[in-house]
Amino acid sequence: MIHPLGLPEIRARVAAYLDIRDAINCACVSKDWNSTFLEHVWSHIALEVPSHLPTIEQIRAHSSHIRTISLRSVLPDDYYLLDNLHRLYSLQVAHRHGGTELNLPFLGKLIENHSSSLEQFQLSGRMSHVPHSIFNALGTCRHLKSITLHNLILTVDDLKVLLINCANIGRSGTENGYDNNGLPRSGHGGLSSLVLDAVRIQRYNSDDVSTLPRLPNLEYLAITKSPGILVDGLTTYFTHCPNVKSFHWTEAVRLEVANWVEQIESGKWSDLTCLDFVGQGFGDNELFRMIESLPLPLEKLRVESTFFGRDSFRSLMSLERHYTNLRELNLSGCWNVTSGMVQQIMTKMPLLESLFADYLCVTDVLDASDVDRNGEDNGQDWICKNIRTLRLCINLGGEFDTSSQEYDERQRHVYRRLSNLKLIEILEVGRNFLDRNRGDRT
Amino acid sequence: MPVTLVSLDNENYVVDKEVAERSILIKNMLEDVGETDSPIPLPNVTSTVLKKVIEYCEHHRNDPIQVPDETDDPRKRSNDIEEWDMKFMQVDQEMLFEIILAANYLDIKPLLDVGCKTVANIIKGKTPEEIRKAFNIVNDFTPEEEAQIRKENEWAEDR
Repeated sequence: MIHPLGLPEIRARVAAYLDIRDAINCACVSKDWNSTFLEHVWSHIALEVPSHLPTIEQIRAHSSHIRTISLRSVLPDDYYLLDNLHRLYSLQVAHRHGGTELNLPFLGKLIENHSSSLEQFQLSGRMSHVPHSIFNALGTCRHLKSITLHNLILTVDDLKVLLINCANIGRSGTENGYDNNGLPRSGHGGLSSLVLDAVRIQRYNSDDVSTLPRLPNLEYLAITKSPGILVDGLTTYFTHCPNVKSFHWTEAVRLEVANWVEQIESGKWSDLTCLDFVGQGFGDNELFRMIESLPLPLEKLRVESTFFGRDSFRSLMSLERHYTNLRELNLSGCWNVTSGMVQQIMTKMPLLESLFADYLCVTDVLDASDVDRNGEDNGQDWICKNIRTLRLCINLGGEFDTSSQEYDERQRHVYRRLSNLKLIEILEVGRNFLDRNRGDRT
Repeated sequence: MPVTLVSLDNENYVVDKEVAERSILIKNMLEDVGETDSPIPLPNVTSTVLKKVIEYCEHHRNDPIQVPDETDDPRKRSNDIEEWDMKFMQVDQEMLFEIILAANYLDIKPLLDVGCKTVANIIKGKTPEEIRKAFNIVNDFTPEEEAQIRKENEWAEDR
């Protein structure tokens, strides 16, 4: 019989489930094992603690294994001059508070040296000044898909340099990849995800960015916890990025909904299918207008802690394109969402895969009228058979004695319905009403 | 529509198409030949193992198809084996290895994953010598070489 651990592909699969210490032990087992498990040990390197750094020579020796690097402190210059890590696709840089910023200019070098393999870049840290060399280096990347900036302060100039370079990604050396309108020819890459989280923009003026080149491949845009972004002009800028499919907006400066809806109605962002809004900046009426304005079916709607309520619910449930296609819905912390609405959602959304809501009363589930008389389940069926994640409190009726037959009856009905949702992987239902089953599979 | 699977030792097993198609190899074969009644030979799998694999596929017949996700965290957890799978995997090591090989050949990724998680759990906390013993592997390193590997990777151990 063949020994399965004699096959490198099987060993690699096993390695994925081991921590570093066990993987190193495996690397000591035999020469065959050594190559597989070292690949795993070196696929991610954390250059974090000065006393625990691999030497430059060691990194060079394992250069072909290295896929991701996280940098967490100011390193000796040599580390920023590394090159030939030809499989490096992800670079995460955290600027440690209190460190100097002296070496950051070299970070651009590290990025440039890997411009043909990098796909993800993340920069975070309380930085009041980001050297433009970093953004310029990002612009030389050919396959960069995702940029995440976290906890930074940018000036308008910084923002412009960033956006211009974002637009350059994938262009270098292949000017012909674009047609006359500056849009990419098919098959051509470019930045697809941009996240600005807790990024403060100083001295912003809405005219400043409106003339910048667009990001034709941008599909996912998130602007979260970013005070100081005066959104009007920026929304206009981003609505000219034609392929945005997913838009996430949290606790940032108030979004100019009127402007937003106007842009959508004039045909911008015609691919938008995912909305993710968090916080009290969003009123029922505003959400209603946004949902109504979207021409394509909504696939994800996350409106946590907003004033999502009667009007927005009605627009969602009256537009067939939306409610028949929605896969993900998050209504947690929305005070105006009633139990009746949740029941309607579960009886009307066939493709729903994930639902977060606060509560559902059993009387709404079982069709209130007769339930306390004869305990039958006359309610409408839940048709969301694809649901995999369900988080809500099910209220079995506080007026019932938990030892009474009615209570038992109701609990059975609810369980029967839950057990019909066969794909559920994560089920969290409220502690006070049903047992809490975390991560249960039915 | 039922499908007939034939093991190495010529045993026939009739199973539902949906069960057989947990195996991507079989799924692709069925797609290539279209509707067929002819039995599918599986010359790499003995009847004892095939029975076991079918038992797994029957139990998981309704599971959603896994979407391969290469970009996720390269470090995965091995402590999330569900209860039924855990019991299913309580077999001797020879059978465990046979299941892994069969899952690999038949391309049943969730079964392969459960098998590899089980192996990972055996490895955890063991020294290199204990691992060799557990899987009957010959050491081709000198003590010096082994010490060198340990030294070179020391920096990574404490994270």
